[in-house]
Parts: sequence; C-alpha cells; structure tokens
Amino acid sequence: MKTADDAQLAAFDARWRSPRGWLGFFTEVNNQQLGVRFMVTSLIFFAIGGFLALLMRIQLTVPENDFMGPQLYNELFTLHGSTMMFLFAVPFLEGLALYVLPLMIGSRDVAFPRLTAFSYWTYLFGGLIFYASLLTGTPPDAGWFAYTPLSGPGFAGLGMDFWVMGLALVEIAGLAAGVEIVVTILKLRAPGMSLRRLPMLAWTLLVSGAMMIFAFSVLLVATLLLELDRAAGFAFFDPDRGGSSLLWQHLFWFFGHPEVYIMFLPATGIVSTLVTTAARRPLAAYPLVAMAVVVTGFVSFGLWMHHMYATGLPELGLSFFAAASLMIGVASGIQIFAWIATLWGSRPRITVPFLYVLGFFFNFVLGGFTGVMVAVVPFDWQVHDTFFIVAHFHYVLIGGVVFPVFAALHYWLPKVTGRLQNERLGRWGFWLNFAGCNLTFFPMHIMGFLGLARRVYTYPEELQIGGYNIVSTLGAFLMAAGFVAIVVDLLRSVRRGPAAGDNPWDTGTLDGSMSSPPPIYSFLRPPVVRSREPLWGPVKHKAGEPALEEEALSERASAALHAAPSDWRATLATDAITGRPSGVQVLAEPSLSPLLSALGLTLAFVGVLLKSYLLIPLGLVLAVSFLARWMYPSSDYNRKVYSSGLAERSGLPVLLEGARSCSWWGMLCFVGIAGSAFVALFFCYFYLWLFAESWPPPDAAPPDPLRGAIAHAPLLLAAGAAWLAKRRLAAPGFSAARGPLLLLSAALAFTVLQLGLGSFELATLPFSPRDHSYGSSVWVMLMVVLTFSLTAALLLACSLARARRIEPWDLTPLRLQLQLTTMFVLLTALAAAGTYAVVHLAPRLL
Amino acid sequence: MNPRDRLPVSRWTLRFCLLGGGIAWTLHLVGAWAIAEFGILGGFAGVNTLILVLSAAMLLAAGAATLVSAHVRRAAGPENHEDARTVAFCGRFGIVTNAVFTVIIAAQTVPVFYFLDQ
Repeated sequence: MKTADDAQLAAFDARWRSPRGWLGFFTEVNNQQLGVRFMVTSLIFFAIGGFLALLMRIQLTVPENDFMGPQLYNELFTLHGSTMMFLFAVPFLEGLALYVLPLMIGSRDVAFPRLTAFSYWTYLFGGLIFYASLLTGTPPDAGWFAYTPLSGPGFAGLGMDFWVMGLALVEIAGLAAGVEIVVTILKLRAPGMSLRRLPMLAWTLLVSGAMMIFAFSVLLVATLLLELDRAAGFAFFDPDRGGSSLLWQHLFWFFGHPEVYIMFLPATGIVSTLVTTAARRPLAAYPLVAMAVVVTGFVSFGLWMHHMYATGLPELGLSFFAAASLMIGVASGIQIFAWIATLWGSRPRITVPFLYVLGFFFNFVLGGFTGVMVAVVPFDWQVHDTFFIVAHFHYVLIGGVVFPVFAALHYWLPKVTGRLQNERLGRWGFWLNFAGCNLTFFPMHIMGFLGLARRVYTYPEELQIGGYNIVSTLGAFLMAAGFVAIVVDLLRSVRRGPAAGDNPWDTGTLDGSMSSPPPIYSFLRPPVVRSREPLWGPVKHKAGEPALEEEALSERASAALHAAPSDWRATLATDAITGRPSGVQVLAEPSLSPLLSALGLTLAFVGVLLKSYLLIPLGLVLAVSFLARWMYPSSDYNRKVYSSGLAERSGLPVLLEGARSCSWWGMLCFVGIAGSAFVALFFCYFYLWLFAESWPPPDAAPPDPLRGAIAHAPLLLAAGAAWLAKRRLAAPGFSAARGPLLLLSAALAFTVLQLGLGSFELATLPFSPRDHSYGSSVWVMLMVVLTFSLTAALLLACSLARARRIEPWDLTPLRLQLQLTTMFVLLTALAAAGTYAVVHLAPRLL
Repeated sequence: MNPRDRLPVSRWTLRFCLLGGGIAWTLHLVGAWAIAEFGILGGFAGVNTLILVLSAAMLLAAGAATLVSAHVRRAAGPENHEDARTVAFCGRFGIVTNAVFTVIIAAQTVPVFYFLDQ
C-alpha cells in the first residue's frame, strides 16, 4: 500500500525527472545529465586530439621522414594543441564540477541550470565549428596560440576564421561555466558548510571559476579583435597600419598562462580529495592548502610574460615576471608537502585512482622542476623554441592534469554508473599511461638540449636523435593503448561491473552519502554539515552551546524544504562565508531556450564565417529573444512560490533579492567579465599608442570632446535615475509603482538618447577603422559602449514592463530585477565615462 | 535576529582580510610592469623611483591586510560558536595569505635595485 510519503516522493521525483524522448534531450537542464555530457564530449575530443598526436609522432620517428609534409604537420599541431587545451581539459573539469560539486556541497543542483545547458550547447557548437575547418581545405595552421601575423589575413586561410569563431563560442561556454561554478559554491552550500568546512575540491573550483571569469573574457576580446582584422580589415595586429603582433601575444598569454592553472587547480582539488580518502584522515594543513590555492590563482595572472621572454621586452619588466614565476613554485610546493604530510604514517589503499595520484606526484614534480628552470630568463632564451619546452609543458599538463582527470574518472565513475570498474584492467591502463608518458616526453628534454626545434616537421640525420625519437613514438603508442584500456574498462563496467554501493571508497565528503547513481535531485533533504568530512563523524556539541541554536535553524530549513510542495524546484541558499541558511533558491525548469539561444549565437558566428550579413542579425535576434524568454520570470510562478507557505515553515525568504539571491552574484560575475573586457580594450589602446609613431596618425583628428560629452552624458543620467528607482522600490512601506515607473522611464529615455547620439558620433567619425590601429581602437570602444547601452535599454524596458502591474508576489522579484538592471546600467555608465576619458580626452591631455 | 549581526567584524573587514594582499599584489605587478614597459619605451627617466614608490605603497597595503587579519583573528574571540570559528579561520587564512603576498611583493621589488644605476 502506498503511503503519503511515497506519493510525495513520487511527485517530487516526477518534478525533477528529465523529460523523456528527443524533446527531453534538448530541454535538459539537470546538472548530472549535463555534467556527463560535458565529460563524454570532452573525452571524444581528447581521443581525436590524441590520434592527431600519434600522426605527428609517426612523422618524427625517423629523420627526414616524408610521411607528411610541413603544411599538414602545421595543421596537425594546431588542431592537436587547440583540441587538448580548449575542447578537452577545461570542459572535462567543468563537467566534473557540474556533476560532483552539488553532491559534495549538499545542493540539489547548480545555481543556474539553464545557463549550464547554454554552456554545454555553445561548447558543442564551438567544437563542431572548430573541426568544420577541415572541410574548408585550409585548416588552421598557426598553432594553438595563433600568433599574428601567421594567423592574420595575409597568411592564414578560411580555416583560421573557423578556429577563431569556434574558439569564441567555447570561451563563452567557459565564461558561463565559470559563473555557474563560482555562484554555486558561494551560495548553494549545505547549511553549516562554512568557508572552513569547504571541501578542498570546492576551494580549487571556486578559484578556478573566478580565474575563468577574468581570463576567458580577455581571450574573448583578443579573438574578436583578430576576427575583426581578418574579416573586416581592421588593423589591431598589422604593424604596417600601426598595429602590433606583440599585442596579440600579451592578450593571448594573459589568458594562456592562467589557463594552465584553471586546469591545474581543480586537478589538485581532485588529488586532495583522493589523498584524504586513501589516507582516511583529514587533509593536513587545510588552511595553508586553501591559502596556496588562492595565492596560485592570483599569481598565475602575473606570469603571462614568461611565455614572451624571447620577444625583446625590457629586462626590468622581465625581472618581475621571473620573480613571480619562481614564487608560484612555493605555493605549489605547499600543496605537495601537505599531501605528503597527510599520507605520512597512514596506510593508504593503493587503488587505481590512487595509482594515478602517485603518477601525478612523479610527473608533476618533474614538470614543476623544469618549470622553475624555464622561469630563469637566460635559460629560457637557450631552450625557448626547442623540444625541451614541449617536454616541460607535457609533463605539467599530462602529469598535472590528465593523470588527475583519469584518477577522477576511476574515482567517480562508480558514483555515476553505480558499477565498479575492473581493477586489473585499470592497473594495466595506469601502467601503460605512466610508462608511455615518461617514455614519450622524457627523451624530449634531451632532444631539446641537442637542438631539436619545436613546430618543425622534420630534422636532419646529423642531429643524431633518431633513437630518442623512436623511444618517444613508442611511448606515445603505449599511452594510446593505456587510454584504450581505460575506455574498454569504462564501457565494460557500465554493462557488467559489480554494484558499487553508496560509498565504494569510504570517502568523508557528502557525495559518499548518496546512492550510486544518485537521485536526479541529489538530496531529498538537504544535509546539515557539522565537520569538514561530514561522513567521518559529526562534531558533538555540548548542551547549551550556541552551535546548537544554529543547527536548529538549519534543521528547520532543511526539514521545511524536504516537506515543500513538489510543483517547483528549489534548494537551500546559504551565506557565502558562514554557510548559514539565508533563503530558498528557486531553480529553473527544463526549457528549449538555452539550446535555441546557443543556436542563435552560433548562427550569427557562422554568418561571420560565410560573410552572410543577413545571418548575423538574424542569429543575434534569435539569441537575444530566447535569452529574454528564458530569463523573464512568470508572475504565476512567483505566486505559486509566494503562497506555498514555505517561508513560514522554514523561517527563510523564498523569493530572494540582493546578496541573498544567486542572480545578484551572477550579475556581479558578469560585471567582472565585462569589466575585464573593457580593461583589455583600454590596454590595447594604450599599448598601440606606445608603439605608434604618432597617435592619432597625422591624417586622423581625435573625436571632438564636446560632441563626445553630449553623446555619453545621458548614460550617467540614466544610471542616476535607475539607482533612484531602485531606492524608491526598496523603501519600506512601498505600495505605488508611480515613482519608480517615472524614474525607470527617464532612465530608459536617457539610454535611448545615448544610443541615438552615440550611433551618430560613430557614423560621423572623421576616420575609418580600417586605415590605422587608432581608428580600429576608437571604433571598437565606441561600438562596445553602444552594445552595452542597447543591453541596458532592453533590461530597463523589461523592468518597466514588469513594474506597471505589481502583485504582492511580484514585488521581491521586481526589486531583484531592478537591482541587477541598476548594476548593469552603472557598469555601462562607468564604461562610457572611461571610454570618453580614453578616446576623447587622453590624446589631448597626454 | 539577522544572522549577519552575529559576526564580530564587518563584511568589508572580512573581505579585506581575505583578498587585500592579493589585490595589492595584482596592483603592484600590473602597475610596475606598466611603468617599466611604458616608461622605458616612452623614455621616462624616473622609472625606478616610481616603481619603488609603488612597491612601498603596495607593501604597506599588503602589510595592512595582514594586520587587519590579525585583528579579525583576535575579534573572533573564544571559538565556541560556528560563526566565531569561521571568522577565526578567515583571520588565520588572511594572516598567512597576506603575509605571503607581502613577501612576494618584496621579492619582486628586489630586481629594481639591480637596475637602479642603469
């Protein structure tokens, strides 16, 4: 006989279950499903990238080999590097984060489920566009770093455009994933999970997510500028017209070096988790390790120039970066010593995942040592373009990232599939990979010293390195065999593996408390956390301790959410620092909008590739329309949540605003993205100015300051009006919408006025963006301000439409919307003021 | 009672304790590099002096963040309360992190002395 509890559970399950069939596939927003899709897709790209590497190794096995020509070799190393860096490593870790994070921090889903779906689709479409370059007959051949002028219009064919646009989509996916990860960790932790109880994997993902926000936005700017050079004849990277090839290197490596740590930090989080589990004791020196992770995140942004030692930069500048490059080794060293201290005296179970951790220690330490060597400027000058560097970064990336990724695969796969893998096959996979990695890459150090140049398709017999290359190729095939063993084990275990049980590794983190595979909603009743390893023993509080009072609050909130009506999805939101429950976060439901908006964006990018100027606006309109549809909350839904009684039962607000809401934090991240992009544009302007013979060029007068002031000032007024509207709406006892309505209307009118005046100024600029890098810079900055203005106008129009009719349940969502809109309008005003100062005033004042 | 009221220090103090040193280091690196790159190539004579002034200012900022972290640690009081334990953790975290950034800023400033006579 079914009980009331069973019926409630069935209804709850139905509410969270993914829709069935094809429609369900395309509307999926659940973190577990999308996490698996991310991981599977990235592993497919990994297999393709690995296959390309094997072809290159065959070519290099013997001197003066004619297995392939130089052009094909260039294309292969470009595709291989780009695939591994952009399509495999980061997306795999994003997928792992999406799957594991909510289980580990006690949440039912991630903060923005539809953004997750959008991120997946843009990643997939970006990868497909990237590989579609093979169909053009001129695949990209300028390396994964795409140095200009090799990647510019004078040297690279249409395939490079596919590279740029595909990469831009992948960057957008990465930015979305970064926001998702940061906000989820800050806001959706289980009650009681304060910062000091955060699992180390979550610390690393938090820092890595924040790094993605700043690094990917700069790369997005760089790739879009490159495409403007290629498709529209702009001059950012063309020295003949005042551009600079080194500018590309600065922008690219400002992303490129943190990118290594964006991958490496989560890998260290995986290692910390596995070491703790294997030793069955808490991580030693937890606060120091957390500190090391944060320091690594910061300092990694200060290393970009150590990729540019050989470009002739001022020695004083190089010295800062050499010092930073050496200092980051200290932070990594702290982590290594903490792992050793954790394992010291314990009797770790040598399982397959732990074998990969041991392999990580060996390979990564070796890669780290050579990293310290190449941080020394004169040494780097000697080996810069040799195979020594190839050996170094493969030890870091394979030892430091791929081995932990394989460890994670073995460790969490039983959780995903509910089945254990074959230990014997797993050990074969490990030893093949370990031996293969060292056989492939260790000889490259020696070959580099002997003078083997990188990125060159062959070498003369006189170098006498044929033997090393044969060993290296043999190692590459061993690694391939190791990967095949992992895949076979994976597929075999899904069908025939023994049942894994809930906690096959006896881990102390919350993911071990779930069944394998976990329910689609993860936690029916959100857990209350009392220690850093909740499954290894809660802290006992003495009677009368204030801690008990906090727990009572958490238990009440958790029980109320458990008993909540099942016709909407929700999870507990907590304070970012203390982990106290701060509200109930309503979560988005399945929708086609993320797919359609990603499709719209892809169409616009394809329009750029095909130079189809109808497709570009069509795609953009499609993308914006579905974005608006996905984000526009329904009043009926708000009413349902408002009248559910959950607020009274849990003692927490259910419709959130301000810093309690995930959306507020999401907008803060977006401001970080947009701000970084603007700073990158300002940097471009001043950098080009520095190297220009005259700035502006003699035949181009700078824009008139008075006209510029008139064109930009309305945005300051709009920001003021929006801010006042927000204040009025937040005032206690607010009942009539009249005041905010008038202020919002004024803000909208000012923004539209700026759009008109700004467009007129842009259209009547006395120079062309194609003549000189000065014109290109000015044009792009003014254009970006206009794009921000347009977005602000759309947001204000939405707020205005909603403010016209306010029901009691709509008031809090409207306040939130106005807070977010105001934040964006303020950012736009700030960007406009900065642009005005740089474009209109700086050339006259400096 | 608003849960936020339980914290013994303000949110801004906590943020400075957690991120102050990192932000000071970032400003130092970007500022020093910009002065070196733009100053040297632009022919500006006072590059070294300017970098030393910037370094001193950022050393002070990172040092101040370390001291504020020590204050946060003390303000947490006896750790018999989860909020107090969390604040104490932030304090300890801040002391070590900001001290490390202070050392890094100092280490990155040393090469300037080598270039002083050039």
